[in-house]
Amino acid sequence: MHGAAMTAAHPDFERFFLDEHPKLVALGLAWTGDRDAARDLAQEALTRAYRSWATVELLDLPGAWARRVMINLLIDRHRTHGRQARLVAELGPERTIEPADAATGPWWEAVRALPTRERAAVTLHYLEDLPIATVAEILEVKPGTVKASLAHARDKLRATLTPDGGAR
Amino acid sequence: MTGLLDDDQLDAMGHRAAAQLRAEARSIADSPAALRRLLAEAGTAARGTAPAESATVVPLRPPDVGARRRHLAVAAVIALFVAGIGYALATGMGGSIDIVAPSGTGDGPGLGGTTPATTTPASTTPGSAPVGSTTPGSTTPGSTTPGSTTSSTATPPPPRPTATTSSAGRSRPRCRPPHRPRSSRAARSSP
Repeated sequence: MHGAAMTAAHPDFERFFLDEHPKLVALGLAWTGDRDAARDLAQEALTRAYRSWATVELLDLPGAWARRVMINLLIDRHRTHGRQARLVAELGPERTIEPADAATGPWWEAVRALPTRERAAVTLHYLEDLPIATVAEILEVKPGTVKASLAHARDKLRATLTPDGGAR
Repeated sequence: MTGLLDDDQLDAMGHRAAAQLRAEARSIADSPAALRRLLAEAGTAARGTAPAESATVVPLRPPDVGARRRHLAVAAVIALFVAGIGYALATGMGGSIDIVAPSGTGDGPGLGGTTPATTTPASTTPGSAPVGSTTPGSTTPGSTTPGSTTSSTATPPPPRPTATTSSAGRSRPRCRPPHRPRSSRAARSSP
């Protein structure tokens, strides 16, 4: 019943989708470096938003909700990626990855080497240009935690990257 | 040895990388097509879930467990009946000839009733005339316990007819011990 009603006309969701989809794809690109994975994860996050749209559209920041789902999907994928990689290495050739050109630079390589929370904080801060409070809301932590995560991440990036944009 | 990045350099590098990534994301996202795909899949899922929702309104009839149990019980009774018949045929309990024991063996009444007494050679053996009963082989009235040799020792057993000697092993009725109720009191009183 609810799904059939949502299939008819929902201009609010369509606007939300067209506005958020490229940003979520960018978030997936920064996190994974894989175009297909980024598109799939963004699609999954927005599909969940569609299913819960009656609740999501009432939120102050529905985009933050979608980013939270996206971050959770990325964390799950990151956890299972190691096991899958080991299985693929044992069973057969590795799946062909379609790498994103802009996500293969030293900066994003260094970002992907960060721990999960620091990676999420850096990605949301630089890529989305979000304020600390919004990043804290998405990550469901205190703003001070976001500041600390960003400080730690900066130290690690500073130790990894060179002033000319390369990696040490 | 190059120096470390300061905060401004680091932020500039990060914003530059982020701008490049956003541009690439916009180029590969193809958001309208992704939206159409999402709506199509959601419509398919909604149509697919419609029968399930209607099924929840009308509850399904629970499986008829009682009929299945009845069928199993009937099948078990039939199987026991057939097995009993087979067992009786195999052991000779149902035969009218094999149940007749020669006189003096102390065998009790067989399952064949009174009919075999008039047709078996045992009844024609001298000294094996039944006393007041049609049970063959009982020389003393009331000695119906199988295997009781009291009467056999008291009176010399008559010679066995050769016709029943070969079937003497099968002629003994295989009686089960009398049924005793398995109560706790009986269990305690028994040694």
